[in-house]
Amino acid sequence: MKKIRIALAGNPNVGKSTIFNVLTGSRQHVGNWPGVTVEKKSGFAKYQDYEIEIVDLPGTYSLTAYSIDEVVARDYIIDEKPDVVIHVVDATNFERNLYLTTQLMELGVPLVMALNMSDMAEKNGTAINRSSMKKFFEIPVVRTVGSKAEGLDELLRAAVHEAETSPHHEHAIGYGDTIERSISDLGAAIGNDPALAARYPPRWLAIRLLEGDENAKEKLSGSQAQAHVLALLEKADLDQTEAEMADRRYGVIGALLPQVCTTCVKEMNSSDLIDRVITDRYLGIPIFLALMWGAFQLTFAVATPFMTAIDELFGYCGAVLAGSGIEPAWLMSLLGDGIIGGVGSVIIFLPNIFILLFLLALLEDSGYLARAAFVMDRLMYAIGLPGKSFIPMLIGFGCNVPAIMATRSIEDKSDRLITILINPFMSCGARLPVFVLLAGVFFPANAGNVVFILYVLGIVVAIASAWLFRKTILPGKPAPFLMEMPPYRLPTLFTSVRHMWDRGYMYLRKAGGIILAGALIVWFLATFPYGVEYGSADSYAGMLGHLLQPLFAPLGFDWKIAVALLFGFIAKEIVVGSMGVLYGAGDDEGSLAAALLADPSFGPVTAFALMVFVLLYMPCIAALAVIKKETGSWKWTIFSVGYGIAVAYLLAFIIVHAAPMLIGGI
Amino acid sequence: MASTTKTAFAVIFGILYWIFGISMIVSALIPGLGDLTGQYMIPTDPAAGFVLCVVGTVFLFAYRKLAGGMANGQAFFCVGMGLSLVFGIVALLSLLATGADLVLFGGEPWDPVQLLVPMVYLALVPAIGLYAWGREFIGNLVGA
Repeated sequence: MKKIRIALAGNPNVGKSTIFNVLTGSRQHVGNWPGVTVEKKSGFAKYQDYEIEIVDLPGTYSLTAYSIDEVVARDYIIDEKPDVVIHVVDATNFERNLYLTTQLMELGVPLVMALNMSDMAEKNGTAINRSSMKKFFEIPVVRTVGSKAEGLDELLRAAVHEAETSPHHEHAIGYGDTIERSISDLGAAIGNDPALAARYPPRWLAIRLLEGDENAKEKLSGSQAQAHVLALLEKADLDQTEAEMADRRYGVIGALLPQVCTTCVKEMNSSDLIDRVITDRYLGIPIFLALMWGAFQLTFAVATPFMTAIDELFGYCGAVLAGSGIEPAWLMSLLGDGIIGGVGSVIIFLPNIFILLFLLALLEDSGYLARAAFVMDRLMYAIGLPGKSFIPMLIGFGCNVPAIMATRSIEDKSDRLITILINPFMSCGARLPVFVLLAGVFFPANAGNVVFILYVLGIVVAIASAWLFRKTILPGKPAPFLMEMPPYRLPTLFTSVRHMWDRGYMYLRKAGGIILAGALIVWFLATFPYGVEYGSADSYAGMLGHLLQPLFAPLGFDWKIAVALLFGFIAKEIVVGSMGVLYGAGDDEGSLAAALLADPSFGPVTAFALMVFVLLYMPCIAALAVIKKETGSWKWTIFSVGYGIAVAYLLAFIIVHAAPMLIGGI
Repeated sequence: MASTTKTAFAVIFGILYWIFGISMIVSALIPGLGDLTGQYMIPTDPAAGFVLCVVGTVFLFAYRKLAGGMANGQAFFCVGMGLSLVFGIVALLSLLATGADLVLFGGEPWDPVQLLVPMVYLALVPAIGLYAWGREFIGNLVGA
């Protein structure tokens, strides 16, 4: 029995795995590709007197080396040299799939195209002329419907025929005189090392190098041609060349498409037309900023009556409890100061958080967030991050936990790690209570502007950190923007409310779990040893605060703030609750405000430094758990804590010491 | 004919949005000007002024493209009216919420005239325009 190897390549979600499963049945093996955690699936099929090994490559949009999936797929085709590559194409999204086709053809591998989901394409009126395709692309093209096992026999027949009989050659795309000269020079230099040239097609390797492919550069290591090739590359403007080459490939696709599929050249629909406006190079960012203003305006304004209602409700509960005469006194204190005071001071901010999450859900469900990522891509790229990082950063305004989980959409490991590390600087809803309280008390006329400055400061620190990480510990270039834009939709109330609830529920669980536990711990430390004045310097909390106070003295924070910040590690919301307990104000915001104003160690500068410290100092315990899970590393988790504390301490120190000088100077 | 009306509509609202937007920004910069603009129901709010300028710019882009006979002029026109409506609703909800807080919990009187800010009253005509000219355009969106 003859043996051949077939690799299944294609974009994500084109039905590759469905075809793989039908062809291999139960004869599959699932493992990991060597050295990486990308899943490797291989299996066997029999066709006539052939034993066929089929390898399902990771889904990729191109064969660049910007994601590990692309490197795995590409290296398998080049290094393992399968007898045939079957390129599975989604016939309903034909044009988008052709970019990968052009790259596979440039590799010069024996290629068969499976026009999958053809039934759906035909139903939609997409008529792809397979004989024209075969004529232009010089590869067999087979109509398949993987889910119904249609055309798979013909697919195997074509693959076997291609593996056994057909001569194969590279399909070259003309990139224009200048680039072609560079390709020719590089190809000649690569050809000076016969071993290298035998392993990698020289033209293909030259193209990859000109596109700034670091992985391709690594393939030169140890080669006698390396020095000459690198010297040639230094003369080229790689960014410009990469863009021009992509344009040429799309040019080829644009020229061929109408000849093989007359119905594929679609007129622009409403969604495309809206994109012309929303992603306009001049209007895109202003529109985005205006929409963000609208979201924050609604978050703060619409929440106000709900917050007042909750405040009144907890005030009423406190009053009822105070009049109930519950004995012993410590139980009354536990219920009043501990539970109602601690949890109430956090629950009051639920309206803000739910409204912000609802608005983010509306923007996401409408399809706008994907466009926002695209609009911000140029800006993000300049600081060393891909546009895709923008969505997790935006979600971070609601809660850092789902935001860090949302980084899973970022393929590149370094890009993802940087996005995870900077996400805690995005001011989540939990920090809002601290800002609203302190800004309201110490900056009553400009509270909104102060909170806005803090949000902006969080973004600035995140951007500066990303730039610093990219320049130092995580060097490299961010992946180019490659993201499928969902069509615009009018979001339904039900879907957006459900998305809001999914994310907001996490906050509610925190309020009922971690925050309640934190409030009880604070209450215990403020109440005992039994008999001391609640929250006084003689309580355990006071002792702990005095122990920590020297560390915070340079920032102007007293022992009460030291304790509040320590408990803020459990959840940032607890900072306000702790301050309420330690200042003897319970859940009454008015009493706490009065106590803060009366505290001689507190002033506008200290308050602003404290807000900056709370904004930056460390992720909460839930966010840390997610960072550990998503990075899989204690090292990065500890780094996140240490870096955050260092930045927070430094900025708060600068504010406390520079502000009086500036104010004095004025 | 319809195209001429749309072109005129786009340029008028582009200019109106810019006038009100700039007024709201400048009144924050020049002391005393806020009192004057306040008499004409133009509050001092630079951030909201910026938003009005953005909407106005979209309308002016729409005007340029409609006047030039470009195919995407209709898109700029509809998005301009859409943004106008969205921000009108944002301002209306914000002001209603502030009023509700005052009346329900503050025990203070509240005058509905406070709802009359440029972001709200400028949105009234584009909302009608969106209903008249944008239904088909919006109806083509998925899920609409």
